[in-house]
Amino acid sequence: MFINLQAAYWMIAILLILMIIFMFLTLSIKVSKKISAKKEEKCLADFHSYLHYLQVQLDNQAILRPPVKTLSPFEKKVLQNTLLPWVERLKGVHREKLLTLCEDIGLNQYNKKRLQSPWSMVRLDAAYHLGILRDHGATSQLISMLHRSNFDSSVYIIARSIAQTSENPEEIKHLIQYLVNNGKQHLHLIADISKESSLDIRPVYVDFLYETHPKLNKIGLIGLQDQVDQELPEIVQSFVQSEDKETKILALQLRMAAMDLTEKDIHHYLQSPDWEIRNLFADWIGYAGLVQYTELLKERMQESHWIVARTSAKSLARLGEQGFEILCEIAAGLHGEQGKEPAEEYIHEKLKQTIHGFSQVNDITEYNHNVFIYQKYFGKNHELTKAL
Amino acid sequence: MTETRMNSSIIQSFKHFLHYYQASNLPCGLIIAHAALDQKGIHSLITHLEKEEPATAFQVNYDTEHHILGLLLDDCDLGYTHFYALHVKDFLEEKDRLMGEMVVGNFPENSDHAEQMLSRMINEMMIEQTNKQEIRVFDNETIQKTDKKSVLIVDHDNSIVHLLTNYLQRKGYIVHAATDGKHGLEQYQNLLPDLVITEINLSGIGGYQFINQIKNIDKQTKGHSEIMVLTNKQLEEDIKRTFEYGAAEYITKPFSLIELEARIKRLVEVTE
Repeated sequence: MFINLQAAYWMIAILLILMIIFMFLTLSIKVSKKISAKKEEKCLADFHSYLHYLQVQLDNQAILRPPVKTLSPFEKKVLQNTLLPWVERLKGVHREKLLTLCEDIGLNQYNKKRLQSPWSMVRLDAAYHLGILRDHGATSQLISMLHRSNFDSSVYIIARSIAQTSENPEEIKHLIQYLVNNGKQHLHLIADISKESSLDIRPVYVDFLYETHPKLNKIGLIGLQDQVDQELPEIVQSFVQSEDKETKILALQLRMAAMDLTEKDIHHYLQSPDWEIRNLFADWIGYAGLVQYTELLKERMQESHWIVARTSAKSLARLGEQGFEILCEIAAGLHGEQGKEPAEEYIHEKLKQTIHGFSQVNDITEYNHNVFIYQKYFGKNHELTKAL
Repeated sequence: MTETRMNSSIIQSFKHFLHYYQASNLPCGLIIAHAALDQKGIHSLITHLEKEEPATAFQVNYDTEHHILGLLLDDCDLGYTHFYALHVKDFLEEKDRLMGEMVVGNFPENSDHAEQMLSRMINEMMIEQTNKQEIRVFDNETIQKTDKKSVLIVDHDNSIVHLLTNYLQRKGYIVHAATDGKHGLEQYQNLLPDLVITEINLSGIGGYQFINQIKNIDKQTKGHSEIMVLTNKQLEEDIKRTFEYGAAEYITKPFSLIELEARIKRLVEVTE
């Protein structure tokens, strides 16, 4: 009994000590955070006139000058936290001017030094900032850092910085290959990272179409979607025939973006045995405003796959009076029972949308036309007309 | 507005130099500060400035009657004059001698009449005496305040708000700002600005709802404000939807200030 009581006392004492330690740790973290925030606030107040000078003179032809005094690492950090958000939000001459200023202040050197830190978080933070600073001189260091790093999600931060700083499209190509070969699955994210580059990397995407690795083919297809001003490489057609559905859809999306499809093609794909392909085209017709294909959408509304029927109705609602009239025909049952439900739903949706969006005379005219068409099929006494 | 001319010794002292710059069409910078200085203080300031910016030739004059310090900088642009003023401010603050604001101006960037500009700078400083120890760039206002276009910026991002506010104010706009949709709507109702620049990702009230509410207010007040969306959203679907809601312009971040200004001008002028 005595032993048990003593053990309990010991336990209580240990727990109390642990509680005190944790309380002390939590408090010290809170206090240090407050001190740091106050220090930062004071530092920002000291730079108030200087930051005002930068904002006022940003548009002036003269260069922006760094602060006169030698800055401590803390002051550099505070300035960095203010200036880099500006760099990220601007483009053109003003961004270039700010980047020159950041270099003159010594932010590039400051971050390059931090790249050597023993702490991985500090290194990652430095890599991130060097990317924003578009420090071309840091690319090789960043590439080594990428190769040394554990292949976790932080590689995307380093990869983005490499894309932002690189001056050589071959480096971007190797970067993408490295990410894909090491099992990174998020192809859209990888393509998005490569687009951070200020270089023309269309040739890289085209090269990827000829690679044997299907993931590189997909990145090529994704990357080219923003660059459809030039003729598409012939190989894109072969991806349209691909067994892999994702590749096939990406190739078709690329051809849609480039408007590289004939009427025959559109007929063909809207009859595809694969409902996802039919759905893709039904959606695209509405999105791209291709009024000439309203009749094809009418056919799709008769089909049994409800997703395709709904998408076709949604697209018809986007195709002006012509599309709206077809929706009314279907909802009134002129073409049978199939598709009546989604047609009614999108008629209501369209009328609601136009009534809320009365911002211009055009909207009022469109609304009146739609109501007129609606009444042609359902009469003036129909409950929706009354509600309107 | 009737202007009371202040007879300051600074004007008398700099007059000949300013005539020279004007006649030779050479640039010069002017800095004036509301400060309490004695001869020793002026001497220390000169030494300080010579040490910090040795390559710059300058003239100093102190108006003991009105407590105004004047500096005339040889051959420099507005950007440098403003930067130089930071040295002066640092010195005056360190010695606790700054009593109010400082004004910087440049010939010919701010005005094509150097002496008149100095005179107006001093007048403005003495009339609008303020305790704010800040540096203001002389604004040679040719547009009446009532003719200025007003802009309301609604964005949760303080960097954007600061950058745009300063930039547009320098371009002659009256700028108001809000950091969320709710506050933005309140401001809109009170101000009825000529232009609203808004983000789509807003807290309080979403961006689309905010635009819709503006349109409703316009209907009630029979007013009309142009809406420009400045957003992170880059999807074509968002762009289309924004225009359907009645926005007149759509710009994605990162953005060019020059492009933004050109679009603002087009919108405001078209609606005039």
